[in-house]
Amino acid sequence: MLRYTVRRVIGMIPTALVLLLMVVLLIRLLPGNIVDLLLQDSGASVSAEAKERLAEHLGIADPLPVQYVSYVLGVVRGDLGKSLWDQRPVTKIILERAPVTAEVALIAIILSVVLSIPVGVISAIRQDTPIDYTLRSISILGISLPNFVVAQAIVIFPAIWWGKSVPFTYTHFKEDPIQNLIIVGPPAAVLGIRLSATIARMTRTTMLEVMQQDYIRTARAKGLSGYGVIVRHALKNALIPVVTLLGLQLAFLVGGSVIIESIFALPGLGRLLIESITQRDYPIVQGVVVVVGFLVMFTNLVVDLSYAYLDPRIRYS
Amino acid sequence: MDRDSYWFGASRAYGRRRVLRGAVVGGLGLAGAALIGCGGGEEKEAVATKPAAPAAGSPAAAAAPGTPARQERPGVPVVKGNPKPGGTFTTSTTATFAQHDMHTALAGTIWHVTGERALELDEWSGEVRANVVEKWETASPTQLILKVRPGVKTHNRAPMNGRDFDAEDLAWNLTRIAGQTADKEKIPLTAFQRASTLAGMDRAEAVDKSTVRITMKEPTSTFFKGLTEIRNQLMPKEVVEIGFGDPMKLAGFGPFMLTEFQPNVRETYTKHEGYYRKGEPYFDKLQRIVVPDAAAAVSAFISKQISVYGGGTAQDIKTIKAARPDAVQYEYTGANWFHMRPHTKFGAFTDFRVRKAIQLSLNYQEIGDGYYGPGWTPTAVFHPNYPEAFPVDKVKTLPGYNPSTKEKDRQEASKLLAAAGRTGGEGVDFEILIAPADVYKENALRFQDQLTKLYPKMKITIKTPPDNATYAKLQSDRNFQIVSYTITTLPDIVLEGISQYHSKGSRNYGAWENAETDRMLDKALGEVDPKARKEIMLQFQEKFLNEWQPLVQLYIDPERYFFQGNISGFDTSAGPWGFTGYRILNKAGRWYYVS
Repeated sequence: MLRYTVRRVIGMIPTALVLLLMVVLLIRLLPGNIVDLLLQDSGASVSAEAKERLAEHLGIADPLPVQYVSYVLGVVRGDLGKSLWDQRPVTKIILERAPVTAEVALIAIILSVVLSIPVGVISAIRQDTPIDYTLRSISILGISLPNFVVAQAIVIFPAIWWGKSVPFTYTHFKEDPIQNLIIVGPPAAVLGIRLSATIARMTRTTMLEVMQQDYIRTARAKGLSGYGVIVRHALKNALIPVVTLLGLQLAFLVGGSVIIESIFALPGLGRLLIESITQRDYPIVQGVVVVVGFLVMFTNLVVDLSYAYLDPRIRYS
Repeated sequence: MDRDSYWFGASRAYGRRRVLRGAVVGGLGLAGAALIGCGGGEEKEAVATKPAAPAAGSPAAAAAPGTPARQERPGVPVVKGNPKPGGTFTTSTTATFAQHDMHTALAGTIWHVTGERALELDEWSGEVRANVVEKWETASPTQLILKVRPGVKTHNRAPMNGRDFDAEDLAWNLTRIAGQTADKEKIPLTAFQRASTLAGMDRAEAVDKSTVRITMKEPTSTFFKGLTEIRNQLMPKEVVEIGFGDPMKLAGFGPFMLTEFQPNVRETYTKHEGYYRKGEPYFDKLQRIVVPDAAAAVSAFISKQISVYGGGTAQDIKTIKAARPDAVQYEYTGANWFHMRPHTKFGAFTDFRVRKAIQLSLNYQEIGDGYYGPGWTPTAVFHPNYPEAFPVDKVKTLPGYNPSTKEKDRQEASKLLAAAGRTGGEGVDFEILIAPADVYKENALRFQDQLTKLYPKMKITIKTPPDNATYAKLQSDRNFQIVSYTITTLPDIVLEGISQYHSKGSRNYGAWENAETDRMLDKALGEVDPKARKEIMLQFQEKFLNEWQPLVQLYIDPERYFFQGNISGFDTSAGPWGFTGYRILNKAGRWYYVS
């Protein structure tokens, strides 16, 4: 197990280097940079040389390979650079923003698991009954409705109908836990409900498959209660692909948070990423992508390792 | 107008102005004369040695600072009630301020709340008005005198600790705005984006505690109005030693002091007890909370989480009016002119007749109403509120802009196209670059629709850049054929003309080059007699329409705001020259809750 883990971690290094190359390269391939933005309203009379001097001053004029090597060395040292706009350290900015996204994602995941697994199991054990049809229809609706539509509806309609709206001034959990949950709850619910729809469908499918297995028939033949068969034998095995899906959904949650955080005015990583891209704040874009990328790699490792727990037949050598 | 351009906006705004050079003015024909009184209004003292006509940009009867006379104006109601000091005024923004050095910042900074400008413009007349500078005088064609108001206290934060803002501070600001400290600070000169507003300035020196003497390299008519540029907010001179990394260490002398800065969450400003305008500010606190989504901002206003909402679309207005009939609506002529700017070196646009045919053909009412509904203002060359510009009544009679002569104008347009060898629009193929906001897209779509219906042989496509940085690069590189965009009016018509149409103009994106244009603008810049200056600019506008047409004006936007019904005072800040579209929240010190 240890050797497998070490091998996997070493195997992640090339992935990380490619990831770093991609983030440094791709953001610079976008047309326009901070110099163009700074001189947006006076650019017609600024010479190319003057723009170059400004680019040098801002530290974005070096050749791409130099910037890449410099960035990789910085990441190794834990230095993600400074924002081009306000010169604040990127690490500090990400640490300010990450807890907001993490909180929303955590609540969304908890909510989705709590909702989806019972729904998936009930749907499977009541296959082709009205309950199954109803739950599947709800799941499909949850998948079909785009997050931003649900989010906008939550934000706008209560204001129009009752003059009330979700609070827009973010309050940190440490400042006021109740207020924090009031603010974070709706966006987490929007993300969580959609995620739960996906997981519920996956749970139903895998449960149906597992319920056809011989060992389930054997368990029943031994006289185990229906609950015991479902929870101790069927569900545990059915959860393996569900756990994989959950791991993959982490990236989806960060991606989904880009729009959700904007609509609910949450100062999270998703909003930071989109703001930084539009402002061509290269160090921040790189920092966020690297952090999220590393997080996804780490999550996948944890998911792989968790298989052994969920299915004792799986052993790593 | 997109929400970003209002004070709710993020880290960018419109209007960077670069003027080419200073030029003559100031002496009023009294070459070498002693001090000429020209500022101060009711506070004006006998600084002048003899009476003189007011100089351009330096009127003799500028008003003293203070709340302008209250009067109802169309679209600008005066909310009745006694001021009730205290409370918090909350506004939304799409992002907290990212840059904290006012002199090098692209647009909005904390200094728009914590600082002040040397001089202001009267919101309706556009006349220069005293502010931190209480008097301004032209001592000679190349020497100007500024008198700093006594008792302007800085915020009580180290190292300023509530000291007086004085002439040394002002001189330091002017020197730095002009980019003269660039080498010393190792900052590229280009970074000092408002240097051109003080073009022609050789040096600024503090003569005593309250007097700054400006020595010009060459006389300029635009210096005083240049000081009113909305991003020429002043800072205490210590800030450069403090550094601009942490805004919480910075302190100004405006109505509010920054007391909380949570990046991209909120900024909180607290009342400055020693503010020089006695009795102000009324609010105890001012907050800018970040609400990036436009629909969410509407909800925030309806649910009373914010005190003001600025929005442009007819749908916004309808939604808010229905949900909050008690809110007070303000609507008046704004400062942004929307236009279609052809690249004058591109294809058919090299021909005046093609450009003119387009100007004559358009239905401006359909374009203006399309996005804003009623409330927009016609314009032909310059903002009609400039004293030297064609007023609205004249614009409405001009070919192309006069709805009653539209058929005749279109016949004339067809003739022009035919004379240019482009009958029915044949060979007039171009792509419209649109800035990334709905209003530019809607303007472009209507423009395209109208022209292709009138001239089926014209081929017009639309290019939508994915974001503002992409657009900025294309525009800056002049890599477009025609662009749909807006510009915020400069405080002075000559500054505006130079930046837009001079061959070396900072915003001459359409690459317009014409010796006569340059000559007239240079002459106007140096013309000291207001009447003669106006005459030049009137001739300029005639030539613009009849010989040049380097750009097609569409309309001036309406400024639209909703305030909660228990807030008054905004009527003193509203007006075309109030530039409320920018985040000039130091004027929020003049607003208050009513009992």
